[in-house]
Amino acid sequence: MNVGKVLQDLWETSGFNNLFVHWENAVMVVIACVLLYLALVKGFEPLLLVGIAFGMLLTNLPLGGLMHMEFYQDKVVDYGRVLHEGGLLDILYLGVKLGVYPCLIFLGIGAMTDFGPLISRPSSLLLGAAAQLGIYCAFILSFLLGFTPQEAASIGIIGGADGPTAIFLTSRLASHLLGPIAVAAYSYMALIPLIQPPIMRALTTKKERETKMEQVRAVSKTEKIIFPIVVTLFAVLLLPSVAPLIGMLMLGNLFRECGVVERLSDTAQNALINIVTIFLSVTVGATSVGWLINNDGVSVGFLSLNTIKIIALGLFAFGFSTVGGLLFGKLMYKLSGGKVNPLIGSAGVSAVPMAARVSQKVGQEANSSNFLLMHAMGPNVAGVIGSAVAAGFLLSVFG
Amino acid sequence: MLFLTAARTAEQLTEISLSGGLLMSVIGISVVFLALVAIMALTKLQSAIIVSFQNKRGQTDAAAPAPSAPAAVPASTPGAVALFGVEDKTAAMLMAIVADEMKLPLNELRFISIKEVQEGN
Repeated sequence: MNVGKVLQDLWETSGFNNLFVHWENAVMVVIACVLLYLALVKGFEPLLLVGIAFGMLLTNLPLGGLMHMEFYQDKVVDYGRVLHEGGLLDILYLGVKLGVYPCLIFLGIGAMTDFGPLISRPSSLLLGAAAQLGIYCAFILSFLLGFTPQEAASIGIIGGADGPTAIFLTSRLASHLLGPIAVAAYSYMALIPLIQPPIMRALTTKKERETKMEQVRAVSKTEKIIFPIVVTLFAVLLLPSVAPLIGMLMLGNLFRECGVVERLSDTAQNALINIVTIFLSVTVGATSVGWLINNDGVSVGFLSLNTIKIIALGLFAFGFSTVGGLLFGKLMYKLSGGKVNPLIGSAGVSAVPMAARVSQKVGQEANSSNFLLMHAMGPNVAGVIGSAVAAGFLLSVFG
Repeated sequence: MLFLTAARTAEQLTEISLSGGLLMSVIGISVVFLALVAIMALTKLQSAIIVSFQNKRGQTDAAAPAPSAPAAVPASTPGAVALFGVEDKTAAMLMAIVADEMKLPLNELRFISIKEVQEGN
């Protein structure tokens, strides 16, 4: 036995020897470590960012064979090949590719969401609609920057501030952009407390921010049970492509409100959503491969000019969604004779409950006796429905 | 017209013009508004029907002779509070804060449940 040959083979097949074959992968390992630092030390959306960053780390370490992004470059994916030759993350990624995980996450979100504030003040839905403005502004800008309509639609949906919706739409329209879009969407959701307040202060007067809102009426159990059924019937009949998202969201909510399936409600809002979050975050992170060549010989890795554009467009989309909600909030302030605090408009972006907390915080800075949290939860959950409808529209047109 | 043509195949959409994209955006935000306005109307209608039905039933119940006098509930009994993911100490603190903010004594408030809201998305 030639010990030297054995050691040489061991070295040649080790990841250390291959780490710098493509420098892009090594850079991605560093980026993954930075994201891990942000999640673990700075507390930026740790529930998702830890998984995303670790998936990114795993996929960029050479020769691991956990994920093969080259399998997904064809328009029609050969799933037989994925099952036969794929690694662990390839198999788990099927849940993203087929749009299963985002819908299961929506089931959990539905089971955790109380639509009471929305039912007691249905006009909140208008704020949820206005806060989708950023989706369409970013869509147009992306289009101008040279993205295809499908890519532009996927980038625009970042403005909905809804991670599962962004992943659902992107996996259907432009799956090659899934990594940068998911990272941008979740990063900006984590940064909402930094992004929104300056815009909120710039667009509202002190008098408007000080507005105290009246207590909303109590909502009966019957209303809460009928609401998800009515919304599902209407939304799915209007836009059938929205059925997976709205259907699961409302099913989860029905589990919560009906009071006869406590175990299912508990599973949906705890065990199931946690399991799916692990699968989703790790596999989405694993799509961010530093070096990747598509079938046309074009570099489609994470480290590209397109990624920088997407990160910038995501911020633009978030900003304009906030602006849309605030401007409509100001309109409601005028029309209601000063009874609606326009700050609740910014909660129309659907990052639940972070955006509502920001409304509460900025409102309380202006008037310490102001409690906007429950009022902001209405537009906040309306934003979830609004972004799902926007995604359904984009899917039906561009899918 | 453009919308209908565009909706037909994805291939045609890769070639839409800027004006086509703008039109698509206007239609898109309009669809979101229309959908949510319709849900708003349905929610109001649903609430109106349920509230009026409950009011009617309440009047009927009030008109019917009571089978027996209800047991008097002591004013100072707030009832059991269901706690989900919240410790007793935290719950007591939250109830005290709410009472203080509302400027009401605790025995005039009734807490049904306290649940920790976890970030969902």
